[in-house]
Amino acid sequence: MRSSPSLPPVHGGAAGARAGVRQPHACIVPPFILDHFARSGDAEQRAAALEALTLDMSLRDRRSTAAAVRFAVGVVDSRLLVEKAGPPLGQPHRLIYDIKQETSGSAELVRTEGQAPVDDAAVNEAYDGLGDTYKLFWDVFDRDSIDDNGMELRGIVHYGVGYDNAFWNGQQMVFGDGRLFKRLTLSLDVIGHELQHGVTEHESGLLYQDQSGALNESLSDVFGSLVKQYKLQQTVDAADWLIGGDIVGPTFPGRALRDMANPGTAWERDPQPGHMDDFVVTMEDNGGVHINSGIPNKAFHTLAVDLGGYGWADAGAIWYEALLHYRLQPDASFRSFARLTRVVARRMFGRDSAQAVAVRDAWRSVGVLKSDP
Amino acid sequence: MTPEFTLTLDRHGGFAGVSMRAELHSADLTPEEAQQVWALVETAPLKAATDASSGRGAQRPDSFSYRLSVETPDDRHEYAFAESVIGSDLQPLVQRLERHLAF
Repeated sequence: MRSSPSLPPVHGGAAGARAGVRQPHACIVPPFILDHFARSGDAEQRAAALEALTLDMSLRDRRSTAAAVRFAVGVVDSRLLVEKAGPPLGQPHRLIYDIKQETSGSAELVRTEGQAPVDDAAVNEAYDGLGDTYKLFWDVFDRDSIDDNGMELRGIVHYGVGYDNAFWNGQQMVFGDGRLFKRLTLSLDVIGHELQHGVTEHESGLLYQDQSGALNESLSDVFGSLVKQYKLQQTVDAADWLIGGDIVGPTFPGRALRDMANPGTAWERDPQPGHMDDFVVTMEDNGGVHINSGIPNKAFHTLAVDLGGYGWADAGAIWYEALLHYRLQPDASFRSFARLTRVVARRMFGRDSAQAVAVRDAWRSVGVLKSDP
Repeated sequence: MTPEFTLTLDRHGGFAGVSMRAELHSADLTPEEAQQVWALVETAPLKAATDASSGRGAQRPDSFSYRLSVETPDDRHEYAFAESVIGSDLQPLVQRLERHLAF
C-alpha cells in the first residue's frame, strides 16, 4: 500500500515550556488567555473565547498576541497549556527520514535539527528547503510551523523507485527521486508547495476537489513561489513565477510545470487557464485542481506585480490573512475567496487603499469578480 | 490461456499535474511477458480499488489518480482508482505499466 511510512512515534507531549521560552511574568493578560482558549480550548471554551475576542484584529495585533501567548506559557495552569519540547521559537524542528525506495514500512531517521549535512543530497535538500520554508512563515507571518505551534517538519526522501512526485500525506512531506523528472527535492518551490498543503489543511481544510481544491493548489503554488522569492530576496519583477522549473529535464517539453505569470504557457500541453472564461470542467485530477489553479495563481501574480516590491509583503500578507479568516469555508469557491481577500485588504490597509483596489482589480482581471459595466 | 489484450493506463494529478498515458499491447510482448502481465491483471483487485476510491476524501494533495482500461477481443473494462488505495496486490501491475509512461 502506498501509504504513510511507519515512523517512530512523535516525541514530546511532556508538560512544560519549549526550550527558550522566557520565564513568565507575574500577571496574565486576559486577551492572551482568550486567544489560547479560542485556539486550543474545548468546544465550550472556544465558543466563549471567540465571542469575547474581536475577530478583526489587525495583522500586527494578532501577531503580537500569538507571540505573547507563547511567552505566557507557564503562567497559566499547566493542565491547560501543554507545549512540546523542541527548538526555541523561531527555529524549525526538522526530521528527515530515508525510506530507501520503499513506499511503506519503516523509514530511517537520517538527519535531525542542528545536525551537520550528510552524504546524501536529497536529505540535505529536504532539510534546507524545509528550513527555508519555515523561515518565510516565521519571519514574515510570525507563523511557528505548519500548525503555528512548533510542529515538527518531517520529510521523507527516496520514496519509491523513480517516483515522479512529492506529496503531503497529512503528517509529513514525501519526496521521490524522479524518473521523468529530476529529484523532487531539487526544487525549493516544490518543498514550499508541499509544506503549504499542511498549513492549508490546518487552517481551512479546503476540500481537494473542484474550485476549493484548485484554491488549495493555488495557495501551495503562491507560497511555494514566495518561499523561493524570499530565499533569493527577489522583487516581483525579478521573480520567475515558475513552479517546478528546477525539476524538469531536457526531455520535458517546456521550461516548468506551471507559470503563474502566464498560465498555459509553461510547456507544450500546459492546460492551465488564466481566466474564468477558460475554466476547465473535468472529472480528472479531482476536478482539475492542478489545472484551474492557474486562475487564482494569475490573480495573485497580477496583484503582486501591481503593488510592486516584494511579493511576500502586502500581497502575501493579504493571501495569508484570507487563508486564516474564520469565514473561509472548506468548500470555498474562487469568488468567496476573492471576496475574503477584499475584506482582508480593506481591514489591513483601508477601504480605499491602493492594496484594496489592487485586490479588486486583480480578481476582476481574471474574471472571478465582475467588472463595472 | 492468455488472451490478446491492450492495457491503457492514464495517470493524472501528482505535484506536476501532468497527465500521462501508457499503452501495452500483448502483441508487442513475448508470450512469456504477456503471460506475466496478464497474471498481474487477473490478480489485481481492480474493482475493489475503484470502489474504495469513489467519493470524496480518497485523495490526498498531489497524489496520483489512475484510469485503467483492460481490453480483450471479447470484453472491455475500465477502472478508476486513487494512488492511496493501491495495495501490494495492485502495485506490481501499476508499476509495470508506469514504465511505459512518457510526456
